[in-house]
Amino acid sequence: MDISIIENANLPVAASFGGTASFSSLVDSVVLNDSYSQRSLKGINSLNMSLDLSFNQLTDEETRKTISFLQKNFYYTPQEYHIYGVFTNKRIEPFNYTPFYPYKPNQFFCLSYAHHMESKNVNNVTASFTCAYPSILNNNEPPASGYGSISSNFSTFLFRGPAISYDSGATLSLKKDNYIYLNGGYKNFKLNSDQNPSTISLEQSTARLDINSSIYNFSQANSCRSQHSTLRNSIFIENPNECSYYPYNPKTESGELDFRMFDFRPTEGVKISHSPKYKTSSVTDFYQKFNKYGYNHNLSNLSLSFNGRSDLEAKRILFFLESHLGYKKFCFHFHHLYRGNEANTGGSPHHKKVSTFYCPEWTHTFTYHNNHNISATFIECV
Amino acid sequence: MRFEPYENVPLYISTPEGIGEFIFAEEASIAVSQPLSVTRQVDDNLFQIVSYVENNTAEDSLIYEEKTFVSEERFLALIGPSGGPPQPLATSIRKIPKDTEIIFQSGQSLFFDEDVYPDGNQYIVSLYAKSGDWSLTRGQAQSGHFNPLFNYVSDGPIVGTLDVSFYPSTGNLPYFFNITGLLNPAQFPPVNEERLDGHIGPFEFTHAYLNSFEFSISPNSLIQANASFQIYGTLKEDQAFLDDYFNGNLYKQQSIPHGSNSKIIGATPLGIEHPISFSYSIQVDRTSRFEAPTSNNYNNKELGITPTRVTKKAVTINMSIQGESLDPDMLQDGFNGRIANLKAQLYDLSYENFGSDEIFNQENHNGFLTEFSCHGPITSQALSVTSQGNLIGAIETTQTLK
Repeated sequence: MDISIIENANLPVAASFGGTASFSSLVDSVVLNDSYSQRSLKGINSLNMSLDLSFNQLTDEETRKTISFLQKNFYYTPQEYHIYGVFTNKRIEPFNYTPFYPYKPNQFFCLSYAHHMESKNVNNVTASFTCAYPSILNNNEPPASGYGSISSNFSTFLFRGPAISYDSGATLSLKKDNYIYLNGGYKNFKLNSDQNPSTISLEQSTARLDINSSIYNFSQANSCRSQHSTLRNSIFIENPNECSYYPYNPKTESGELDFRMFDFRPTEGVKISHSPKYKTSSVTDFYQKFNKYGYNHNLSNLSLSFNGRSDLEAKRILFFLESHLGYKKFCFHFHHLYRGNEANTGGSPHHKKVSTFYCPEWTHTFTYHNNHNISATFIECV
Repeated sequence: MRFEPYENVPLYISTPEGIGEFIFAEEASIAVSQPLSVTRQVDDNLFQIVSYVENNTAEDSLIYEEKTFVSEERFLALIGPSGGPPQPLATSIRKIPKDTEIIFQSGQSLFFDEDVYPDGNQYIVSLYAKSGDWSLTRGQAQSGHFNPLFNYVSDGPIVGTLDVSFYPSTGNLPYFFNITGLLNPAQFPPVNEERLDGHIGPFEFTHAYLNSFEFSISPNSLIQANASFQIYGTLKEDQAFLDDYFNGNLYKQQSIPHGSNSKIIGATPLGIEHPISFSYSIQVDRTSRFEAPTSNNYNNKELGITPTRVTKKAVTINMSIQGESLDPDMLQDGFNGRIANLKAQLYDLSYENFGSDEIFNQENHNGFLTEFSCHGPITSQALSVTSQGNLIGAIETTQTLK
């Protein structure tokens, strides 16, 4: 049963607050006996995005337009048989849609929707959208060791002199509130204003970065790095260059890590279920023996919430998770009670200073202005 | 400092087109509230020192070496779990004020050297000690606790309420109900969702929506009404508005409805010949629509302040009447309720016309002012008596308009 049709090219209303974006990866996983595992995506469209949206408090006219737009892909038309041997008009075509912040315009299918007539001239429409072509080739945000390939190194007098040299890496795109990091450490500087890339060059010898820091005292040029380059790209996120992360391999007192750190803290109230692996002898039903199984028998599966996050922090979390494509490893500091085990203190062999995880699925809810909730599943891996 | 007296704080309600009326208010108040919550993060007030770093070198060592603190000497600390990698300060913190104390397991304290506003990138902070010649072991350096100021986030829109207790008058009575869409059910469109604007004193509000209106009648008293509005949008101060106020029509004589001559019609079939009190209320169920911004317009905060639409859903009228008795047959009328058709006709004191004088022409001699009605089932009835009074019958009835 179709609604009385009104033709319109675009979705006529914006979604209400409370919309949810869900992400999940299709992963092939190889698990070895000692819980060592390797994963890979099944294909280039294997990181899926779906939206659950509500269009609330619509008038009858707005509802007609909305439902007409959503149902128009399913109108019956006589089949036309093409000379190439296919029916030409059976395909459901995706439509262009710009989801809520921080997502970029994309193409979506809408395969289910519902109309709730709440009261006279008051209607609610809910719809589920599926991203049509979420190609991971659109993501250009490498792991820690690969930042050098898309980022730029440059040197600058941070306080009293001009920028004096500029590496020939990617073209920088430094905007207000971006961070740049000094090479070799964790000292960083926040930009007070948009920085024209040309000012960070040899030609513009009078330019210098407009930065905000009062705690450092440098008198000579220092090498810096920024990942804010024009090469950066995202599958789903608009303006990923607003996101600053530590651009080098994370450092420990015993060396560097190979994976990036997920430096966001989960919301309090985390439940950690422990299900260590073991084997049960099955000699009899009433006299059993249990044996430890494997070297890494207590890997965690964490369900974490990141609630009440600002617009920018939500974007940083979402882009971080997207850039790991649902299968790549990253490091994560959990609660202080779960840190600091060394391999020689009786823990599992894999237990180093910091554990590694991958995140196969996460959801994001835009609760209200500057208030985002993200929940994610972190699976510990070695 | 100056407090504005009552007579300098007018209440004015108008349509968005600016057609409005001063309201003869006995009492008016605006209150605004917003649902806020604080979300704490794991270990967000735990302070751990990885190492102490120099402020003029790029390289940061992550090897912890005990440092003997000097009184009032500032230094930089790389923060995070022992041995690294460093971890930035939690983003649940809005601000760590300068001189905030960090207390360690040893009982000694360090202090923040400047205000810090964590945004997820603060790996290094500047600290100082107030006393010298002491140090922290590697283990003790992991045990700091401090009390920052935390962030609060909005869980929903800012919604205000305007509560008014006022005297319906000749001038504002029909107008008030016209602009609130309550008086004339035959108007088209049948559901008026138009917003109202107005002033309370010098403060201008926009996007007000009537939620409820009520009044009661007693035999020998003025009729006073109460109205409650939802308010969205911004509140602006506009002192120039007060200049027009003293020239406004509120300062002319008003004709006010009074219980002496007002009539209650339709009570006799309910067994009440002599009504002693009567009350009327209308409630409007409203829901606001706020649209989630996209990346193109998320900086437009107006989207979260002004609703796209405020719907008017169920509109319910309730009337109650008290008198000397009630009809006992109503108790036996079976299911679905007996239907009552009550009307309240409001009259002023109906003084004589004192001639052509403009002032007296406005003063309480208009007679009939307006009528309210409720046609619906009786929802409750009661008989009561006390040692200090008489037998009283009471009836309540309701009508759904939308």
